[in-house]
Amino acid sequence: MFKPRPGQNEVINYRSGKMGIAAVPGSGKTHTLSHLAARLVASQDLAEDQEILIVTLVNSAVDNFSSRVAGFLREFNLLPGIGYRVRTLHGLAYDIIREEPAMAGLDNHFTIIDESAASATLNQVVDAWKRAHPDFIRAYTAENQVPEQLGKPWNELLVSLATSFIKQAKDYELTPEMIRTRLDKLKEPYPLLEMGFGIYGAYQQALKYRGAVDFEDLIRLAYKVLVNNRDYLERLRRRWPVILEDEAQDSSMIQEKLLSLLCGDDGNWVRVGDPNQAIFETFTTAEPRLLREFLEREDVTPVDLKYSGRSARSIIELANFLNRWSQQDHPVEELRGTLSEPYIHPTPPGDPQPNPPDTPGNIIIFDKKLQPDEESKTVANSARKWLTENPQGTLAILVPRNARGAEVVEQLTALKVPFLEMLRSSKATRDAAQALSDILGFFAHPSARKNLLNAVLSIVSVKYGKATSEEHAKEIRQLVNASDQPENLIFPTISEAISGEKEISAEMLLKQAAACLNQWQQAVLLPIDQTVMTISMNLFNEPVDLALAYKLAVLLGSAAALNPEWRLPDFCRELEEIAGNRYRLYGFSDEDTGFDPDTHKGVAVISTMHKAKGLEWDRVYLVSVNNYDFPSAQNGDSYMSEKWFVRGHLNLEAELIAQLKALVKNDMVALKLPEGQATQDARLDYAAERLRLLYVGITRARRELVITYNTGQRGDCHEALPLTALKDHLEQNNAD
Amino acid sequence: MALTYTETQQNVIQLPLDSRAFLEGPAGSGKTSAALARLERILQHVPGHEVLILVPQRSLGKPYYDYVKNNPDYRGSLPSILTLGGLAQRMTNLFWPLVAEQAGFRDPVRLPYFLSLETAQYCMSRIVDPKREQGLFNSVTIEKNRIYSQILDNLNKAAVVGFAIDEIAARLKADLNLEPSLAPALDQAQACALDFRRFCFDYNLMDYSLQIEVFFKHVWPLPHCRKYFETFYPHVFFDNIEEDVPAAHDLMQAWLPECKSALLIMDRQAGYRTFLGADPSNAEALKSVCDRQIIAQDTFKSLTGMVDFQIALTSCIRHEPSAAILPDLNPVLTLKDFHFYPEMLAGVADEIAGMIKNASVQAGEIVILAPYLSDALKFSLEQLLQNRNIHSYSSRPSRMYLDEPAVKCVLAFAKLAHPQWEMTVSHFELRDALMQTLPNLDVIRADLIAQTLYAPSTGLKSFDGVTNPQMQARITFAFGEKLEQIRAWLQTYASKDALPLDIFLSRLFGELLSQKGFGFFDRYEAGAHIAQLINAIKSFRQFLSVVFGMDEISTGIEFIRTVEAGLLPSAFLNRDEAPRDAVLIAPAHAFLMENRAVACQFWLDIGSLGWWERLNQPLTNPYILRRDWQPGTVWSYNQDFNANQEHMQRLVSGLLQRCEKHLYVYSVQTNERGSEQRGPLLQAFQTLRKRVFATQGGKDV
Repeated sequence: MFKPRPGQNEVINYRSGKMGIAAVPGSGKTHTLSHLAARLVASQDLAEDQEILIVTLVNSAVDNFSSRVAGFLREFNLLPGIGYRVRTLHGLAYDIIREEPAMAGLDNHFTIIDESAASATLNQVVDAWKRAHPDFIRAYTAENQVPEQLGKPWNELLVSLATSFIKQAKDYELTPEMIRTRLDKLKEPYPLLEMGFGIYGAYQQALKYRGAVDFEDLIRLAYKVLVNNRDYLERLRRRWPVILEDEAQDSSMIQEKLLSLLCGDDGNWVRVGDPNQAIFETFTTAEPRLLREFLEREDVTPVDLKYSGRSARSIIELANFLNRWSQQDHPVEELRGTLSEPYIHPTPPGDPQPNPPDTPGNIIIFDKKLQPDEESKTVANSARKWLTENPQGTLAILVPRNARGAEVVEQLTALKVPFLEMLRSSKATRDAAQALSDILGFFAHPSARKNLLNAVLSIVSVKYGKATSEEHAKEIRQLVNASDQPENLIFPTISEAISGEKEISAEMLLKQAAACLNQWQQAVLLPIDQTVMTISMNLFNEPVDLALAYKLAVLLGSAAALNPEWRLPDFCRELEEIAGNRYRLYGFSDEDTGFDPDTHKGVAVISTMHKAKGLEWDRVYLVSVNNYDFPSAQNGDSYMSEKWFVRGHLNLEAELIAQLKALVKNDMVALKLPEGQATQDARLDYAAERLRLLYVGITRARRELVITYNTGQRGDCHEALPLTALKDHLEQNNAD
Repeated sequence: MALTYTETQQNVIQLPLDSRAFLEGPAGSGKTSAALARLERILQHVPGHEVLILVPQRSLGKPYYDYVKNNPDYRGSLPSILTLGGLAQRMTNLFWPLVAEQAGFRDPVRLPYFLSLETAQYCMSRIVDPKREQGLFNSVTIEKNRIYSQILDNLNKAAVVGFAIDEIAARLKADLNLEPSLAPALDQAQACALDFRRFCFDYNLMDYSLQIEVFFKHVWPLPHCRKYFETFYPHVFFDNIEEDVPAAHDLMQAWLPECKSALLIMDRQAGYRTFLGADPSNAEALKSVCDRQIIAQDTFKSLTGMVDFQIALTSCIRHEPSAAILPDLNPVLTLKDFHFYPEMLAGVADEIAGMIKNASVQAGEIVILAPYLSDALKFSLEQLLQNRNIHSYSSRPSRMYLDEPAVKCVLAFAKLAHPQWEMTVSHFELRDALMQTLPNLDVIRADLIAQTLYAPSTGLKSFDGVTNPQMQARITFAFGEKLEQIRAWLQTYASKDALPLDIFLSRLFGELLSQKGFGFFDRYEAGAHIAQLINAIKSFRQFLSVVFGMDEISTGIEFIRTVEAGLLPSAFLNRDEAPRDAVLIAPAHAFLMENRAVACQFWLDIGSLGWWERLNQPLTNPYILRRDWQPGTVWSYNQDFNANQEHMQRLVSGLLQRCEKHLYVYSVQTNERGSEQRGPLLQAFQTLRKRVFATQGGKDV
């Protein structure tokens, strides 16, 4: 039974109008919002054909909300699953377009291209553009560098620039043609904008040619459809009489416009968020100021959810200190508005979720200059020790970047610490994709011994996983490597019956794998989607693996339709990309199956701080809290967006987006600002985002928090400025 | 066993031989059975060739085909079972010399070439592709094959509805739901339609639209044509008139007063082909031309529970109140929800396996229906059923025959045999072809052969010339010997003049691949696929050489080029008669067009919008291209919405009228692409659950 706290009460008694909720970390906003949704579903006001619309940021939250609302409805003795719809913004936009595709100029078989396909398309476009515009590269390469030797870094940067430009342009509802028109009116040349336009135009053309749209198009098109079709908008407004929006601090301009339009002037809209946790701002289109402005609107009822039972009081106190310090004492005036009230309050007495108790020394700021690998080792050792002592505890190592995570993983592996990665794509996705890639890799080049071994080991690992050991794998390797004619191991010319031996041995495993490969060799002649499905149905047993394989099959089938010339090696490469973490597979990841830290006791979870949002662990390590990963707009701070090979260390992304914004607003003054100004401004934005990221990291910890930093690859980094403030504060407290 | 007939059926059968009757009634009321009995009666008095049986599409003519096949005891020649298109083609061909010139064909002396769907698309690609290269159709996000098919569809609609083809764009612009920037694409589609029509006149080509137009404008008014009808079609049966196009109704409107007898049959609740141009309201107007109207009301088979369920579900679709207390739906309805798509498919297969094992239902009495049948869905279901030893078949074959490994194999050999075509055979193509051709050749050895004995520049080298004995041993001498035979055959062929592709393939298959010791020796199914390929190439050759004067060898090159560019989209595997003891997997519409009832139906993907929406195509619109469309009016969102609601309701009712025992509704949270869909049919079922829950004290369906 839900026992609401002060503030939560106000929320669950909401019935109509506009409400803005500022919720501190751990304040139970999902729970409260779910309860509100269930109460609204249960109310007599909701007609049979109406739904409460819940909009969240990521797929994991969709499942989370759905199951919570379902739980409350069962408590109310109502049928779960009916009367509400939980969607990410992309999901909602898809629903809107999919119902009336003609309004968006699409037919109902339109394709949404996955991240990997979009990226491949963009890479091709960038490549072609780059070849046609060597002057651009020369003009922007640093004087001491040779442009011809910078092929890869420039390609990567251009893709990244184009990605940001396209996202931002779509957020502003600008088509390439509209940008062209505006550019043509300018009297001076703007090479960055010309580059953005050129690539954007060619990219959109490539999508159209394939009858496809990308994720950003979905939102832009949904908004356009509703603006142009009043009757449809009215029907949707009737269908969704109340909109509940979670994580509103990460809302972008177009998202706010879309929901605002769906809601209407007199409509019902509840927005929940924490402006202090806006961590998707820099170079995404999220704008945390939008929520702040909404909270201040006259027609909005503001509510604070300020009580949190998540963390020990000392950790809450540390987070509040960071908030206060940033408002009052941050040396950079412009950054003092980065964090704001409400402060986090421990739960009042009698609350069903009391804060965990404080223990001596439960916050450690490791004040030692460490090389990056030393830092990883130290953290891995500490985690091992803690997990041995607390086998039922949950632990996370949070890193600011994926690459840092990979280094920590290496150390954990070396120390044999059980761990779980929560990096870009989920392990399940990667495992299924990797196994299929290994098997298809064998069929692509079957006479390569390495491919044969990979396929056999993958089959053995999927089919017999837990029952086999490293020793078995070693023996299988020896058996295959020792054979002059490996084909005789797999496809003997004289058929040999597979014995019914039950004892697991390398020979038996090899025979079983050979039997599979034998069986599948005819399937490889089928169209690729059918090949993958045939193999998968035979290989996997777990529903989630089968579902992933099915999705992979459909994905490869679409890729085959788009690229009729593709052969097995191309499909393997595509699977490798997914397996190798480079692309997320829309629709499937741990994110989508809902990651619950409490189901991973006794293992170290490795995650980026971004992905850890919304989650909590007993002990949390924040690593790399130095002035490279958490710069504070101080002299000597360096910024990863300011590339070493770019003239004047310009942050081209910032320069480009600033010019685009000026172009949208027709702001000629902003457009003519001297080069480098946007780079400087971006430093502030980035520093602010990283400060909030640190706040998010701290508030993931329930009982214990450890913060470390390193001196960087070149040994010239030092602890981040806010970390120094936290350390001083902690020392002061300890002294007191 | 002699059939027994209801009183209404008896009335139909016993109608005087010179009567023109209009019979209407719902599905299952025995209309077609009565028509067959009447046909039998008429055939006792007149020769078969005096009877025309008109049906909207071939599948709806099945009862009549079966009758003719199983009752050879009629006088004279066979009755004609035709669709409007077939009739128009027959008549136009017959009276061509009389109409070609006035119809506008450039070469009236030469016979017309009737385009199939594929060849029409091929011609359209020749019109559209150069324009696309110039940047036309830029404003529309659509695959090129769909551009061709939608322009052709517009032409067809103009012909069957009866408006001028230069009005297409103006009409389509009345759709308020269209994305505004699409207007130029509509004009471009219009221009392509006109160009295509000119192209047809220039080359004596007749696509479906031109066949209909020429028939009505030029052939039908000929006294000779009327005479022909008097001689050959004085007795008419026209079944499922609600599923046919206005032009078919027009023909009947004109012919009925003159024919000797007629039986027109209509199901007022049907009309499932409206998106394809069917016009039930126009069909109903034929009633006034008939001298008798008969209504069949009795339905034979539906369970009372099923009828109650249908009523309850329909009220949910319409958002109307249900009966105060809903009946217990469990005897006729099972609702199941799954998280992942493959889980749902496995659930379907398990349920069916259980039913068959318990002998409660035969496989042939089960259908699995989805709004769209993707290749992936069909293939997975077939595999799952096959693993449970259950036969299945599909009304929409999953694979284009061009995807068949056997077909790819022989095309690879064709390229290999003609190096002068400069079409490279890739390592993979050769490897796969060899695995098909040499029995028991595994993928590793095939790979070794392709690596060692083949290079695109030199072709297939001799096995005996391999200098590395270890490699020879790995490939094995047994396979080496077979390779030498293939090489010898190819060398002999190369020493003479090249043959047209279809003839080359016939020889390759007959002289080599189907011989004992080679891979196609006893593979009849693969043989059938190759036969289909050879036929397709032959007709393509005839088309290109007759129409464009292309030399016969080049037609083969053009065929392979077209295939490899993905321009032959709709050529699916031919299927023989549907097996009786197999589960049918079909799109819901296709099953309705089979017009038969089964014991159990499985509905999949009920969250899909496919149950509700028309096939949405930016360059066409079935409502605006209808006869009752008033020029000058607009097509609004609300009209579109209501039309979709109406469509779903008809579809659902039609399916339930064809379900005798039990409906299984399997929904899934995450569809095959990994996203959740919540279309109106799912919502209707949710409403139904909610109502049952509310009226039956918390009991779920």
